[in-house]
Amino acid sequence: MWFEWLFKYPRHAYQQGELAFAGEIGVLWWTAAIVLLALSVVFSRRLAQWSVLRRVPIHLLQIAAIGVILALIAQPVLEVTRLAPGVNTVAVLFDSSASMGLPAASDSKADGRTRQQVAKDLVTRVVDQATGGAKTVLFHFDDRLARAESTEALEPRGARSRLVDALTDLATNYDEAALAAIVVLTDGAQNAGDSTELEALAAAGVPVHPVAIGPAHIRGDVELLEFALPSRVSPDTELSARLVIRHHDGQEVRVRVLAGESVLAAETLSLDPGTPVVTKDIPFATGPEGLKEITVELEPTTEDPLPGNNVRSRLLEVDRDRYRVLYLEGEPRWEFKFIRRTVAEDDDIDLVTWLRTTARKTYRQGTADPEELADGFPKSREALYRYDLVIIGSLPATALGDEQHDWLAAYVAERGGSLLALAGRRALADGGWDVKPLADALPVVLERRSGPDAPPSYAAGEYGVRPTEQGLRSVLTDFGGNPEDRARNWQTLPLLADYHQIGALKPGATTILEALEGVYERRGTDIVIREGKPVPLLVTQVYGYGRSAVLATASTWRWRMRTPPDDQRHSVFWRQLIRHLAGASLARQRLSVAVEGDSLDVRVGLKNQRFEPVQGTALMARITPPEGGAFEVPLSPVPGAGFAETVPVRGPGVYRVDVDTTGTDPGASPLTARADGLKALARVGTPNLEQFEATLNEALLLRIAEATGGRVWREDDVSGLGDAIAFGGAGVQERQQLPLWNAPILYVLLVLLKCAEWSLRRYWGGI
Amino acid sequence: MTRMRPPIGPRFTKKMVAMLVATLAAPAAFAQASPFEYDLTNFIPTRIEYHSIGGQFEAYYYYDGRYWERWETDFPQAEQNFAKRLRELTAVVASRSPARRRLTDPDLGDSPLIFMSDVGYMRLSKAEIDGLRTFLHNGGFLWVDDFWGDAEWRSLEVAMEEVLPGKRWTTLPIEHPIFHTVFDIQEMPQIPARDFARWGTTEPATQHRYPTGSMTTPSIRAYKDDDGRLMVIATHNTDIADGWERESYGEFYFENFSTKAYRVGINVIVYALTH
Repeated sequence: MWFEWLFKYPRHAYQQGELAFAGEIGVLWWTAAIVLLALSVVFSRRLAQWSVLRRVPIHLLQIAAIGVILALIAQPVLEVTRLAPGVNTVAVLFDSSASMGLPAASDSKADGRTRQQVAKDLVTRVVDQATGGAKTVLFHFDDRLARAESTEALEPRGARSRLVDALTDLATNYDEAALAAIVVLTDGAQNAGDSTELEALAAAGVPVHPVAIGPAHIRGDVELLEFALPSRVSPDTELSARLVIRHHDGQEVRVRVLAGESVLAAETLSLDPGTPVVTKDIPFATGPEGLKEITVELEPTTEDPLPGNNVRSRLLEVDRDRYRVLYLEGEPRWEFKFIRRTVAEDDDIDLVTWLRTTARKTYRQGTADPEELADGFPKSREALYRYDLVIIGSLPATALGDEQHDWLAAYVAERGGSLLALAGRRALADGGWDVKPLADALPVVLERRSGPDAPPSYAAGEYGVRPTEQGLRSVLTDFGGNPEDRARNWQTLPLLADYHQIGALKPGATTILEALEGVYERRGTDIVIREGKPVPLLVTQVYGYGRSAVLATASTWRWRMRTPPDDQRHSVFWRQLIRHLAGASLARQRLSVAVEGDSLDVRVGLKNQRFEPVQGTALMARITPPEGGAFEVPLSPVPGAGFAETVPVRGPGVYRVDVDTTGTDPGASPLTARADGLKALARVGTPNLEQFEATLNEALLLRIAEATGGRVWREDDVSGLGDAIAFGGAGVQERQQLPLWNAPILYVLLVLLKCAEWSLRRYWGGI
Repeated sequence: MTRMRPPIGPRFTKKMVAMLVATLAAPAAFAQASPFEYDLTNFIPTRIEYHSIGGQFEAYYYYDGRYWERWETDFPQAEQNFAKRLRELTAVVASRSPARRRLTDPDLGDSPLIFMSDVGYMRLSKAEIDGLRTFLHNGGFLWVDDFWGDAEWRSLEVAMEEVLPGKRWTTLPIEHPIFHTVFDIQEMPQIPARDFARWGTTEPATQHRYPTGSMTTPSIRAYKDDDGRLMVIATHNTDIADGWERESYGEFYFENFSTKAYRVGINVIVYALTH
């Protein structure tokens, strides 16, 4: 306010405009300048008795005052571009999603108005501000953008908020008049669409001015922020629902995990007021096979203003997903035994092992019939392709023929299988694998050490283990329990007793675990690592359609033998590693169902035993809506990409999709590679979506304003919005010269200069 | 190796002297090892040191110029010979230096297969019982050898009942995989000590704890875990390790006993390394 009084025009005008002089610097101006300077010289002679230190400030003040007078004579102006009157439009965008029906204040008892009521109260002031030379048009948005005649009829009923999409749509497609700005009255909720894609909105060149409505937190609210669950698990196994709960006041909450009406687990949590976001795992049994909707409910002991954000659901496919794993080992050793023992605990993994026991004898275990691995390595490409994961231990490359090496490389690159190479005396480059085709697929460069004195790459030694930063985000390093304890769980493992010096990492490789070679200390009966030089231990990469990994040790068995019997870390690590790698391999048959608005995008991938696409067959998808009444839809072949179809659906709910592939590959072996079971669930719409993350999303509003050149305004102060729009630089602009000769600041400055001079002279005794 | 029954009962002082002599006579190379003293990338034959009850010719005996405790029977020569043959005949990379451990040692788990010999008079402490139980529950494998007759079997039975209460011993049939992992063994061999080999395979009953009962039938008896895997095997009425130790004592012994003892030993080791 004071700025505009002193400088005559708003701050936005000065930020955007340039100072200039309207008058000519002619005879009159030069005459005035000379006269003023002459008077200054005359007066200065009266100060001749003063020292230089006193004369200089007086002269400077006099020159400054003369300068102000000369500037006034030259007619100063501010050259600006501002909205041309009568030709521009300002869009006022009204958030009509359901979250706007929530309380506007943190404590609803203190201020009972809803966010939409606050927005409606603000609209008049916003329009008054925005109409300085422009007309306004009213829009509203929730899941879609629409024109509104007035705010009276608008109700907060939208089930979703697409704020960024609505702004982008409006900024890029409004064509009735030049759009000078968008003023959006919103709480910033964005629960549909992509909130990170602001490039298109920024490129439209229309400043967006969000008016932020809503509280930063809601008193008494307990919210289930996240509910994570794998999409597919085995029957009758224990599973953990990972919950992220946000609260503000600390209280007891009853948690229930449900499948339909059945309670699978229930637990009471005490939420600490000092930890507003809590992560908690709730174990429950998966039960028998089937497609299920698992629901988690929070029941606070005190009244919750937003009970709708206490419930989330996830779809879970409980099915036996059997992985077939082939382990080739050239040396009976403890790592082999303990991998086998661990995998034996997992009913979903069929581990077939081929072990060289002597120079001429081998030992097979886990084979499905006498023919499997009867000749050692699988005798055909199809037989190899039946495995989801191949593990190669301390086996020299010479154990395989050239054709088998070619199959192995193609197994990863073309079939999309997974491969894990372990450390050992005859593993990796020491085993001669560096000159075989498989070397290209591995995530490290195999380098053979040459020379008679070259030490072997594989040697005994003491190594600690720790996950890398990327590893900490990987499921492979998760032993369960509290996520904060993950790094500590690794630190307290028994030391490894060996390490295989692997070569340089390839550009696409990811290190999940590091071994630490360094300083150790004895704690009780254990040796633990204190510090050390990190070297890569577990490295993975995607290669072709498949995935490969190298584990540069063969002494993880110490994690089993040097810990108490109830310590499950060795078992969890190996089962997760094998499941992760085997699960990443391509299945011969795959069904994916994605929800696109009000449609289901159904896609089926179908391959034969050589993993070549199956063509020339007809496939039907059977869609079962939530209310029943299944119907069939033919799937269209997509060249090189299987079969697909977009299926419109009638309303929200859980839809089941089944695809029958019987007879599409008559020659398929019963020992076939994993098929995902062509059935899936898909949920259309999310209940109570608008009650989640329902506090003011100021961060998104700031990003929008910053990206577009606008500003975030508060509901209690929108003064200045009109000027910000007028001088915003968008719409049809005209250039104006705003006179400054009568700006109070110039006269105030002149008076101040002369007062300062007078005060100094009086102080020094010159008057 | 086998023992001579004492003509008179033991005396405490004599026992102590004998123990001191035995200790001094034991090879210094097998002093207690710290973790990682051995190269754990190798298979390390590991002998378990335990206490036996009784006096001379029970807890200890005199043979070949020195006193021996029961646990060290055939040690370390048997393990050294066996490790050498393992390296020659199989792909197992065995350490040439055997280790010796107590069941209470914190690094017992670094040897997932342990070997106990001559257990007829063995007595385990509470700590040893707990240590062995943890070892077995973690997946470790125990091989007990060189004990004969009913009384010595009963002694082992009582000790193991305390380690794994409720477990039942099973006599393994010749079809069991342990007899076929590397060599196809059609008959469980009875390996006697060299001193008796020339008269047959069964050792004289007077050499063993009374009542001896039948000593004519060698067998492998086992404890299995809940998944049917072997946790403990006992080669009863036979002395497999003697077959390794005495391989150089003559052509007759080598051909008739050492070769069979190696076949059993290799099969057991490979079974333990694969199950």
